Amino acid sequence: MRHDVFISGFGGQGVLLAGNLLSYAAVIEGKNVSFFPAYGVEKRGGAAMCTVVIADGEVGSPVIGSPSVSIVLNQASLDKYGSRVRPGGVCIINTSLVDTAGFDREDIEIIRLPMNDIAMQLGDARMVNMVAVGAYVAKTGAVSPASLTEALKDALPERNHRFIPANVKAIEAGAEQVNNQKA
Amino acid sequence: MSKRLFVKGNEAVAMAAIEAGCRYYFGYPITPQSDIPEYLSRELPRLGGEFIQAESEIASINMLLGASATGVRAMTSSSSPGISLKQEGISYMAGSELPGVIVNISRSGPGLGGIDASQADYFQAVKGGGHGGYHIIVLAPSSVQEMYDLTLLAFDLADIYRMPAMILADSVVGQMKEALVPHGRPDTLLPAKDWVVRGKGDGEQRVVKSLYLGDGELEAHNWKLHAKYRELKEKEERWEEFETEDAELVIAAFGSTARIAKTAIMMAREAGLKVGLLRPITLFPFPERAFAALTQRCKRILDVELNTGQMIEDVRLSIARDADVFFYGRPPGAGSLPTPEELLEQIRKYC
Repeated sequence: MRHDVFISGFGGQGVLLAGNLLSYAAVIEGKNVSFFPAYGVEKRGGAAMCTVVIADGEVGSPVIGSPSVSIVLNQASLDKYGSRVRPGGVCIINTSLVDTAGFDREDIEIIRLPMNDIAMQLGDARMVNMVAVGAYVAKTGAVSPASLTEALKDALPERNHRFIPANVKAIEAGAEQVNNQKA
Repeated sequence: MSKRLFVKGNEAVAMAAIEAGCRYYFGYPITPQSDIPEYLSRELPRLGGEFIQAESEIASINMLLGASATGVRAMTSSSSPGISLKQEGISYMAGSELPGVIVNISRSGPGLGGIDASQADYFQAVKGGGHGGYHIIVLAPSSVQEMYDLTLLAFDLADIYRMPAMILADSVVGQMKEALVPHGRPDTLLPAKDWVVRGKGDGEQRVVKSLYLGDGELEAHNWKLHAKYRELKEKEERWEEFETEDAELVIAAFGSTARIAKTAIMMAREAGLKVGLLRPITLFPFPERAFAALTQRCKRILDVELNTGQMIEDVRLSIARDADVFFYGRPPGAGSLPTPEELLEQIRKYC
């Protein structure tokens, strides 16, 4: 078993938290995992990205040229990285902020979700990253929903633990959308 | 068993330093290693240690020299331009036969260069970056767990051989997070520090110095240092081999590049290509014997580095004329990190 995912958006969308959360869940499950943040001079509003690799065996490279799954939270990310998704892979796109009209890759599965709208309906647009993680996990089964819930305690600082129930709802909402599309 | 933590490579270095009994840290901030001083500035005072943000890199290496001369375990860390500034002090430590751990989470150069991952400090690290023809122990971790394990080892080797030891990594290994299982110090027998500085008040005076002006003194001192380097080569070479048994092509790579190469090798194996990896863990002493033994059966080596070719010289020296050595590398900088897919293309060229 081996899962790699590239998550990108702009700073402030919770890209790094999403990657951390997946990684903590993998650690809880006793799997090997690497979380590699793009390390640059970026700050809020700039580009943010990270790569997470989860494996039963050796992780190998923490960086991937053509990820099997890409989570795209803003337009700039799709324009820059959309072409890199591995043939046969999956691209999960936040259509609240991304116009996919010009993105015509027939060799991959494209999952379109209005993540900001879904998060807003749940009360806070900042949970867009949790919607994305929920969708990713429902699609790939990289980690279990139970581990994700457990991992929120590790990924969030103590003072934000009161938001865990809301975040769990956002994860579930993202997962539900994917499951509905499957059905 | 310890809990599996999930931490950055840089944090693993700092945690291991504390576990090793290091209670003194001196440094000056620079990207991408500042997580190390950040962690130690928080933890060392609680443990009765000292964290000093010095006025410069030069001051911090000299503080390390001074602390080590008193027999305590101490450390400094920086990144490439800062490590250049420390070279004078490192030469003095080598000349004075002082232990001490120096961490270089290197960035791209020359000069101020950039903040991206780089392996361009290989020459500086393994060939004696300062003056006077010395070596230091150089360890190259390629995972967060190894950042921890090799930092523990660095302190022990530095004490055993009475010489500085360096952790040479980059921002890939320093900034990535992975699972870490912390553990105690290995049960290594360490020599007594019967050489630490002492004034005349407590018996025999002991001086730690690198100045030898007496007739023949300095030559003898240099032969003594040289003998230690030979002993290191005999006893401390460390490396990892991955899928080398039946390999017809072996990639030589260290640190972050070795990690990227591993995935490329897994992809190549799936495609039926017989490729393996030989990863030096000690860069000094360089695992010459591993390369010599390997090239008795494998005749093609592809050396991969995040620079324009440095370790390749030691690979070539290790194997004499037993194998062909090819090179793939890129000068470091933003966007220059090779991907496994890119390395797979290179593998295909030589298979």
